[in-house]
Amino acid sequence: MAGSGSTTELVILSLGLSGLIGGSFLWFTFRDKKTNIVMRMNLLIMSLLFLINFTIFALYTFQELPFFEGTEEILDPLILYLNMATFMQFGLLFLLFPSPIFTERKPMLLAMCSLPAISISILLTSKLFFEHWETVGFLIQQAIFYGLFSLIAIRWYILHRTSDSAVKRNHAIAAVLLMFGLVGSVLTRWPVLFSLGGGDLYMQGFGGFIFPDLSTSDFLFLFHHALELIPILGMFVVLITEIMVPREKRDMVVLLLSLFFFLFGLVNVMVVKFIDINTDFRILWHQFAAAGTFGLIRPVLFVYLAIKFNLVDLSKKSIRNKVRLIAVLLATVWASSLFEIIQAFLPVPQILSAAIIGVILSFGIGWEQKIFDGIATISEDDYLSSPKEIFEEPDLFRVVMVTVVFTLLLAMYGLIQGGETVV
Amino acid sequence: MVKQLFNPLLKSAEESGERNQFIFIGILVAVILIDFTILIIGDYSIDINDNLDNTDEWEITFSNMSLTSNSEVLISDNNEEVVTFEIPSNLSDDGWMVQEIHILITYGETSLGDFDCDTVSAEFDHDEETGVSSVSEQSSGESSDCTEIQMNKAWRYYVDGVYDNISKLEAENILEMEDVGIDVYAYIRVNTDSTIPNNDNDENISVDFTMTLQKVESITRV
Repeated sequence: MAGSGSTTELVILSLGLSGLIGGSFLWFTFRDKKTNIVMRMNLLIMSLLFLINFTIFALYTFQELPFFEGTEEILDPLILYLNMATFMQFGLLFLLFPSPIFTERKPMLLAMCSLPAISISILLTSKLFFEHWETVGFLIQQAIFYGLFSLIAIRWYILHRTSDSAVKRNHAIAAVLLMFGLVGSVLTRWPVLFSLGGGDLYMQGFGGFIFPDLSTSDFLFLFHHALELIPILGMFVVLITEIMVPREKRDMVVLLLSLFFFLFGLVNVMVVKFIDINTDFRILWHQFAAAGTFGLIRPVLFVYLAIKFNLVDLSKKSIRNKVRLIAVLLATVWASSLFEIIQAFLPVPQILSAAIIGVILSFGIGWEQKIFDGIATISEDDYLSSPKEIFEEPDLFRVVMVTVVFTLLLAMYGLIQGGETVV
Repeated sequence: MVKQLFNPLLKSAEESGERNQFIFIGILVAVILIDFTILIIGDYSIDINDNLDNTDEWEITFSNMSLTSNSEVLISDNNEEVVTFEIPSNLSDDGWMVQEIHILITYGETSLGDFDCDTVSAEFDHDEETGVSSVSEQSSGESSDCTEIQMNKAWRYYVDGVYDNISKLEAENILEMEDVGIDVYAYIRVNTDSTIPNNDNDENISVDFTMTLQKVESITRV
């Protein structure tokens, strides 16, 4: 079986994938001025999310290098705080995509500004009352931004999935695809429902966090668990609805995705229940199948969202060609990452996997035009509605700078604080 | 025209939309309550505190095991021999650790007609894995009158009982001893003493190793 070297390779591939998508989306946001400003804002926030992920993966890569040996006390809290910064992007996307929840500029800006305020408030409150306040603050934020905000996506879905209007149905589909992309790591552990997976499955999500304060640990655990049940239940709502919906309204992507998470969760719980935690297979499963699989799904989903729902104006030929080129690059990196995961479990020689990737791509390039045109149809039925006059052009730059400053502040605080080592 | 604060698409105009939302919330609340019940008081409830690092009282029982070995070595005058005892490393899979190393060296005067026992000196050391300090140590000895030489090193001996104010993780790792998988080396030197010139050039030395191992047998929350 593969060892730590393969983990490093997968991290580097994920780093490349995140950087490519983040950079591309950022470029399209500022280059393509024809698309609705709200759609561009969504694209911008997605790009910032991937760029922060890029930074996190870079830090993971540094940890593997001999030069950075023994720097866990510096890098681990830095990674923790950067992950907290990504929660902001989650919240913003749930508020703005598929359509902003407010129709007026001021309430929308207020809602967006409240997210970092919520994050800071939680951290400060945790510091006042809990000994391991960074961990507590992180988990409370994770529960809120993963769980509570998923209610927005689920509402979109419940309200409009079976609508006769194609545009309204688009909102439902786009919302759940966003939810799958953002909180898929929770969905892979869906058997925590009714404690089917036992303690080990719960701990797969916590990643080894500890709660030394007896009076708070049970409460925090239950709070976190309660909120993570929201997207899990949402997944079942999606799965059942997609099976029951009339054929002409069925969306194969959503159906297949919900089936994938369902089946993956089943396999995951069997691995957790029947394979000892100290075996190589179990360690690899956690590193590759759990973390790696999720790391592949989010990039693909977001690119699909951007193309399918016209977050980028594909009517312009120059932009369309660039999007196609980036899609091909992404497919290459993605296929390499997938084979990296496969090689972790099966003894496939690297040269064989490289050859298979080459064959797939050579066939794919021939069909890539057809596949791309199939997704990137410029039909008005594929648009998402968005209230006008919510944002102005300078808001894009402002969001970038506020995100950069906020992320740097968190990162600097993480570096100074030191903090506990996060497993 | 009065502008609406919230996106009109999020406000359902149909009764079925809100009804479905309420059904979802109702199922969610029910599932959360069922899950809490299973987690806290169910037959197969997860003892959350077992997975988290909370301090409590734990009743801990221990098991003991001895490993012995005997070697006979013939050591010639003014020479030193090393006798090694290897503690199998696979014992760590079951949680065994080294609580005591005891080495007994015995010899007699084997030269015919000689009434002067040889001088035997010995010392021992071992590989160190954990670096935990011992509670007692006698790492060398000497005898000139055929009396036995005893050397030993002991770490804290744990007795069954209730240990409080520790987490489950600490209870599982309570033993502060040396790891198994180490090699123990006994260095034995002989200086022959003889009442008859050139009668005694070597001596048979018997080396008995006794390793006492301990492990945590069970942990129960009090």
